[in-house]
Amino acid sequence: MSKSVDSALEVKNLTKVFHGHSFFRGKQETSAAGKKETGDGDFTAVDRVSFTVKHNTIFGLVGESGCGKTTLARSILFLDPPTSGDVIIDGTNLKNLTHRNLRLFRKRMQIIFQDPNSALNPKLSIKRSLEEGLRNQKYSSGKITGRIDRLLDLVGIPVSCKNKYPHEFSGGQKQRMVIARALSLEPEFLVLDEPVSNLDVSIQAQIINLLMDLKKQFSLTYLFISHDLNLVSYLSDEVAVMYRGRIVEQGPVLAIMENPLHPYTKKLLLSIPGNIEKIKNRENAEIFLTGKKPGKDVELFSLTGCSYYNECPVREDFCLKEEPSLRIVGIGHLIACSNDKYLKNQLLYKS
Amino acid sequence: MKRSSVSSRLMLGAVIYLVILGAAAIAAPVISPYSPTDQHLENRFAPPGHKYILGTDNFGRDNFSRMIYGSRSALLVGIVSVSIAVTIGITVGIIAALSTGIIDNILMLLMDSVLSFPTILLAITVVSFLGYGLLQVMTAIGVIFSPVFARLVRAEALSIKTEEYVEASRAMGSPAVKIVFLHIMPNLMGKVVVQASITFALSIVIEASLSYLGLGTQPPTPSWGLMLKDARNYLVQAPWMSIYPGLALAMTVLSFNIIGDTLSEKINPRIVKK
Amino acid sequence: MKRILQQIIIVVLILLLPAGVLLAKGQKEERALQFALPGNPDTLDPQKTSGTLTFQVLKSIYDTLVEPDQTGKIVPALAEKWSVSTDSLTWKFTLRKGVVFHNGDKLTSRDVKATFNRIRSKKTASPKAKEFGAIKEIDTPDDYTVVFKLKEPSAPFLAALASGWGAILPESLIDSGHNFASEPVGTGPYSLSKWVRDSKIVLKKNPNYWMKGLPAIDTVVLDIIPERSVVVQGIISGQIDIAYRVDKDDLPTLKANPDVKIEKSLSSLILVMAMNSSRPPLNDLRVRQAINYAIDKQKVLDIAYGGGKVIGTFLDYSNAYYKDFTNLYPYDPEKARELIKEAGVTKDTVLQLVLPQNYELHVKAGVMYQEMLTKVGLNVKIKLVDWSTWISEVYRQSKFDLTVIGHTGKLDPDGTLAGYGGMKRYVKWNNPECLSLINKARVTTGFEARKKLYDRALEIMAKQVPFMYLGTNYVYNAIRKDVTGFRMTPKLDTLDFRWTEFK
Repeated sequence: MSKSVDSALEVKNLTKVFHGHSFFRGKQETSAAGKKETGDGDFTAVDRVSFTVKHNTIFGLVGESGCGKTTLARSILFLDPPTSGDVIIDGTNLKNLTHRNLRLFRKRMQIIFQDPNSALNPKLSIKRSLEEGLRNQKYSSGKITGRIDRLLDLVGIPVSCKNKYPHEFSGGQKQRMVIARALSLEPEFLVLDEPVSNLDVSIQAQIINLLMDLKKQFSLTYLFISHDLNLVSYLSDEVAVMYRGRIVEQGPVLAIMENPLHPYTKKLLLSIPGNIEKIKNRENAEIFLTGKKPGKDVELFSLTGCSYYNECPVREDFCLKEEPSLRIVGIGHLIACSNDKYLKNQLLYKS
Repeated sequence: MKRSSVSSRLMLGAVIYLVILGAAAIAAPVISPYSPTDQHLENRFAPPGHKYILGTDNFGRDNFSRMIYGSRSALLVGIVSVSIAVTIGITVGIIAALSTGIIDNILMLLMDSVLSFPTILLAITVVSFLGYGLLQVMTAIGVIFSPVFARLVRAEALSIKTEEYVEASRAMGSPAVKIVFLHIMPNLMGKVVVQASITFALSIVIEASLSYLGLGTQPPTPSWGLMLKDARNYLVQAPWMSIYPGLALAMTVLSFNIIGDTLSEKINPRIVKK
Repeated sequence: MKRILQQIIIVVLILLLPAGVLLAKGQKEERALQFALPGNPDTLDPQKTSGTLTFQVLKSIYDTLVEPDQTGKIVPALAEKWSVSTDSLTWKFTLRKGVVFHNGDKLTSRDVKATFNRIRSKKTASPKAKEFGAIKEIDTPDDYTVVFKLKEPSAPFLAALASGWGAILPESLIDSGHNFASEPVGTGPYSLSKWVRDSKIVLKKNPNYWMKGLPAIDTVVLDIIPERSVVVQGIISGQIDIAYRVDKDDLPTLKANPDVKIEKSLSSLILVMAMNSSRPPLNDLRVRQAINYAIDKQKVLDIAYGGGKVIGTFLDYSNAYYKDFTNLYPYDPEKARELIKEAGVTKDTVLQLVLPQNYELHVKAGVMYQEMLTKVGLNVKIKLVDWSTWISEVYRQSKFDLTVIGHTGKLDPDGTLAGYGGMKRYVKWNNPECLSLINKARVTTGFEARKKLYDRALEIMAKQVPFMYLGTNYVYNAIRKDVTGFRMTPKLDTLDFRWTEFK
């Protein structure tokens, strides 16, 4: 596992399909919107997603709830292995690991969940929750105690609390413990799945600051998942925007924030209050927020072309013919849109 | 407020009754004035009095002693059959919850088909296969009630499985067995305990019913069901033969049900606090 | 609350149901005799069943050549007299003249011949065909003489002729393939008027019956009531006139009613605790004797079986061939204990007492036996089995140490005793002498000659005790006080209404 590899995480063509219910396959939970039906009750929750995260950076992933963000996160960590595609972490393709080796590898990648209330087993004391991973890695008892104390110290929880149970703590404290647990195995790469969205606003900043401190201290790499483009743009080095299982736009944070190209990205950015001034190509802001180009909408299940067609203000008939693939429009800036005319117009503002 | 104080008093009563019953069962040889199987043929149908506190039966056996020894059968049946049911139920339920697809479906189909039979009928069928006797009855009851636990455990395990702490545990590389014992089991035990206390009561009733039908406890071993069976021919002549074992049976069942209800309110506190 | 009310209503309705059935039955014009029958006969063809209920009903519809009287002695019926040749192979019966069937046919020797040819025919497939297996041929020298030629001497032959399966059918209807199963035609005191399944069988008096002046009652209704409590209520309220074989637990209720009388009679049962006499330690005579000493027989009879007469050997008390051996093994637990010690049987030896679970009385007796045997130092464990298991495992395969059962006494003692002393019988008691005595008695005719042989065989059985002989119990019929003359045929237990009348 040499550090010579440039990227901490490389996701290639990752696709996750949920199968419908049958006696032989059993039931796979499928939730809400954002999934494409592909027949036989199968749903494609994540569709050919590719991106790369460099060492010691934060990669933001934005999209409305149900767009496949969390599914993507779980697939990347192989908690629910992808249907196809590759996940390469620090040069290791997870697909090629044996079951056992995958378990051992897991200490290098961790996840922090949205809801700290559900992320801690209510029947276990803080100490026991924290020592679980350490025991998996066969640490000695003495070492474990020392390590737990250090971890609690690190996230700002009094060590004296370690024999208490989760229900005795506030949401913010719990999230600190979840972070401590995630760090217990000294991972290099962390997925943060909406880590603050369930917390009070006052607490959110504290947790964000803690996460940033820790990143600096341990040279961590984050995949930051959120529906909040504002927060993502504030933290990330690079941003990808997801819509209905696909990445529609991706690029360095500045490029995206100042020059959003995809109509969906635009809509997201424009809907943040007080953000309009920061956007350079903000012409016709209203139509991106509310308007649609006149024309006939298409039933979702028969949609073969661009999945944003029904909501797109700049749609053309040819958008229905083929699915747009990501293409490069700037340095590291990729967009999935077939409307060349529109794009050309937008790119004029670039310089 | 009023409601909860009534229910907590009931709970206290139930617990006290069961503690006394348990103590009587353990100390049966000390408490019983006579051997439960000794026939005093010269004192048949003696009414309750100072020689025989609760009277004697058609063979002149001491009713009180038989009831005390009968509590042993009752509690033994409850403990053993519930243990069997819980063990099978948890094993099957967790395997079903963790395995997807065909195994889950087959296991649940199996459990549902057991559930779909009337309990007593099924118990009679199973016992006729295994042979009559207490051990067979306990096994039968255990097997028959296991689907209830399997269903419960599966449903609970399925919901616990999606909890983020289980995901986190997997992310930390914990093996499945560890996840089951560290996370899933402790979090479903509460509901299992509630179900167990209700099943405990049911299994005592079924043992009594089977013994009443002559399929359960073998005479002359005392069992409440067997006592009631003997008593039914002498309802007028010797009412004490049926009243006391019937009362003991009813109180025991009631007590376990009260405990089950109270526990389930505690675990599932939606309906309380008013 | 609503649910509770519903449940109460349902319970009340269920309780009222039998009462309603009785009320409906209570409406009658001219008084018929109402008799409570516990179930439906399977058929009314006397040659196609072995069902007790069928023969109980058919006793009123059919006659036999000979029949048992109230003491069990076989007396003339359709045959006025009979004689046996000295080699016991030829039996000659002279028929009563002037007997007519319900359909008007006159009874002749041809009817008798046709009847026995029918039951022996493979086509009839009668379960009782083997009872007449000894017949070689049947001659009818004239209209009123029937001659049976036998292959070998057979003393039980006469008993077979006296039993329900010896019923005489009319030749004309046999030839025409008449359906006797639902339309029986005989020479009996009553003819079938109608049979409503699960409800009642109505019998009408045969005005041409050969016994002059009998039967006394015009109509007999057999009410089919399986529920014991309904029968008891019926007899108390007067809607039922006769209930036979009432449960002894119902006796206090019935006795309390001034309009009901209880008639007690000895059953034909031989109540025993059978011992597997080839299994240790029961193969030791001393242990079997000890068990006979250990049981207080009268007490068990009284408490478990509702009273009866103690017996000392393997025949029912009221049997003509019965001989008393009760003084051989009186109740003596002390002696029992000594014998067991002498035989070296300890508490380590477990004796399994198998009880047929569906026979509550035997189970009750078993519980008492167990207690009494425990008191003399034996270790007895009870095992309840269902009836089919008892038949296959205990009776057919002898998989038991001890078991409690009642043997039905037969009209001929051979029916009870055949095979004992040989290993084919379930008690596995080997005594060639006893076996040969019983075999010899089967082919010997003449009561005295046979009795000598049976006396000897019964004495061996009484002394060698392959059983613990308990006794013959009483049975109780509950009868309304204004009804007299109801009889049950000894051993056959059939219902005889010929002398029954209202006072």
